[in-house]
Amino acid sequence: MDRRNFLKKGSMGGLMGLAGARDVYRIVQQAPEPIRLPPADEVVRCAIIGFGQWGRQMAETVEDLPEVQLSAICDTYAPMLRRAERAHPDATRHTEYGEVLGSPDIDAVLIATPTHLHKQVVLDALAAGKHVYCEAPIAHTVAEAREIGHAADAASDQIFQVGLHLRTEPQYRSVFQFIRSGAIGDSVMSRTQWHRKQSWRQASPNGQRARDLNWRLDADLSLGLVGEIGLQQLDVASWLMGAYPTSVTGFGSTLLWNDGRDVPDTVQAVFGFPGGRNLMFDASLASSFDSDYETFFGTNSTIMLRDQKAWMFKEVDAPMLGWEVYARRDKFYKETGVALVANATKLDSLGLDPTADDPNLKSPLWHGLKSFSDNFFFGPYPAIADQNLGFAMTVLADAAKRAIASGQRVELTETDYQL
Amino acid sequence: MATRFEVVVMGRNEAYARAAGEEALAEIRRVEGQLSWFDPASLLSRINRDAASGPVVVHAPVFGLLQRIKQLHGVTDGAFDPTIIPDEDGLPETGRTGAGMAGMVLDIENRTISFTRSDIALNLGGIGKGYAIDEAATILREAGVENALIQGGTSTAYALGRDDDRPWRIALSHPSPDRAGQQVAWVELENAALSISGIYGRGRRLADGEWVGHVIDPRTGNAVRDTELAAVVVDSDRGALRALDPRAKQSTDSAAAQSERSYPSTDSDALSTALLVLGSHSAAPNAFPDCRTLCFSKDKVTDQFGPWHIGALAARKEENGP
Repeated sequence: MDRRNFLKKGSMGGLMGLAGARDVYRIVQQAPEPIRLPPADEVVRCAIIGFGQWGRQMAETVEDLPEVQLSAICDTYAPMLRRAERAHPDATRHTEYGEVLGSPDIDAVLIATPTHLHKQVVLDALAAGKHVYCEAPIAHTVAEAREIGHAADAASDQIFQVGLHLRTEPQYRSVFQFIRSGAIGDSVMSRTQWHRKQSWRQASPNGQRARDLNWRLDADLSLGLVGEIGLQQLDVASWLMGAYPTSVTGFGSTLLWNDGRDVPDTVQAVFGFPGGRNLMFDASLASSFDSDYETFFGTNSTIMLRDQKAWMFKEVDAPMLGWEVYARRDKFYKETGVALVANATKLDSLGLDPTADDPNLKSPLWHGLKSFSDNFFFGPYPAIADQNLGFAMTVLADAAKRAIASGQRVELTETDYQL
Repeated sequence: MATRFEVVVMGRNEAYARAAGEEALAEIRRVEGQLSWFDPASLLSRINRDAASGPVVVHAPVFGLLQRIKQLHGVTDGAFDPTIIPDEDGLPETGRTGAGMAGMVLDIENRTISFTRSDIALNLGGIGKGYAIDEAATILREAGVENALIQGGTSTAYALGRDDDRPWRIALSHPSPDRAGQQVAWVELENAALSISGIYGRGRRLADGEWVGHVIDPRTGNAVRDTELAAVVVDSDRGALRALDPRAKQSTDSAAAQSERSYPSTDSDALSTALLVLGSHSAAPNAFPDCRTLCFSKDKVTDQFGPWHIGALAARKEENGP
């Protein structure tokens, strides 16, 4: 641990605190993009706990990170372990996660179980001395999120990272700096959406297994569309706005999937941020129109983030920035968006066309896991998505769930977000 | 890929059938994402970009597919060959004069692929669809689905179980664009895959009225002319093709994992292209062990092996198929 503690850093990013209107203009000092190579011959030996759809995605992503070794896969359901064997024959397979926690050959665990099962796995993994990457939301209740947060605080020599991975995605980081430099003018409002036409149900031949699989449709266990899907977008909005919401109003209905579920298939929510700026959120499992993206409206321009790409739409009276004359433009019906390209100069220096699709594009999850492995080799330092952020986002998701269920406006104070 | 996939799931519980179908389609999207020629960030694009400069590590399932491609190339005497020499624009369909499988090297120990030449590329358009369908069928089986039909691009279909009280029945349309929609044959499938390949599509008509299709014989570089349509049926449980499965040998203690899985659609997809090129079953008897094959040219059956029904399929009263 000595080498890692030697490199321990104070804080890398995280929330910038409750920002007033003027603060939005400030260019915020950001940690530089890490240019790091792991020590030769050293790898993080990981176990994935929970090999459902997301666990599989994680395992595939891990195989794209040479410095991370997928050593073990845990799942309680035999067919999932057979799937694991086919896809990742080199990883050992376990029905009891205790086996990997007891193994000295595992450095870290990546937790992809259903949300309501996270807590015990996190507590056991931290107690066993493992580094932990836990999917978001970290828990289905504020109380359990707090327990997890305190356990992570107590294990300060171990990494605890939450799967809120857009803060480590280069395109989002670049837009963050762009907005914080004042390029969109005064922030006006923001809007995010997530639209799919799908049941959100999973099928299994085994009745108990089917109930276990469909925890997302159970109001007691699920934070619903806001918590299980929208949390990533709400995290980005909080990050860009420099504050957590102070209120939530929400609506939810089941409009298509009347199959006995008690979690709405279509929701809208308005999140109030300091300074009278609101975020409009909507998500639906009943319509796929226009898919998912985030839009941040400013007095000078509006930025749209979509599919790990970003565009700026300028107001006619906005000042010239200069470079946009040369930038690629894309038409969106009658609007013209100026493409914002992360690492444009880097791509240019590599002889790659910055406006073409990036052949080295990696998913947000890849960047999240990359920052986790960087932390293993060069830390531990508090993760960008640490227990404080994980806790705060659970508080927000829980408030949204209550607002939607009751039809009442839920107020949140700064202390509510504090672990 | 601009291919439309469809899944029909039979079952009494609609919510359950829908959920299983959604998972199968999600699996197809996942596989397409890996094997897409057009997405520069796909695994296939990475192989095509980097494999000439050094070994590229690939996930175990995709490595299994690459091994199978080598074997299918071998048993078809080179009539199935997904290695190509892309043209100046990097397009897959032209200049396809058989880059040769010898240029593609697989390292089983390290699960890597490398190219010995810098001008070749791999285009999985002739097998990826079938592979995606096989992966989706595995998902359906694991979800407990017993009867379903999956089809991609109306050229490869996999029939899981039965269509109610009898095997799934699928009709083959006349390959010529002039007679589109006219049924020429039909076939019954139960736990079996069907693929069809035709020379029409992106082809052109010569001055004398002859149609030159888009399918090129990888061994000669000439356009395929003689056979207009080739169809291959591969049954899931046929021993000959199961023995072909490299994963069956690779895996040691995984009888259970393997028994849930076979690759009929992957094989039929590749073999139908090979049959179109070879022209008849007798030309390469080793290529189609235990398969049902059918070749059509100049409006008549020119080669047939196994049970096929020639002529149009009478419509069933209840609508069941896709």
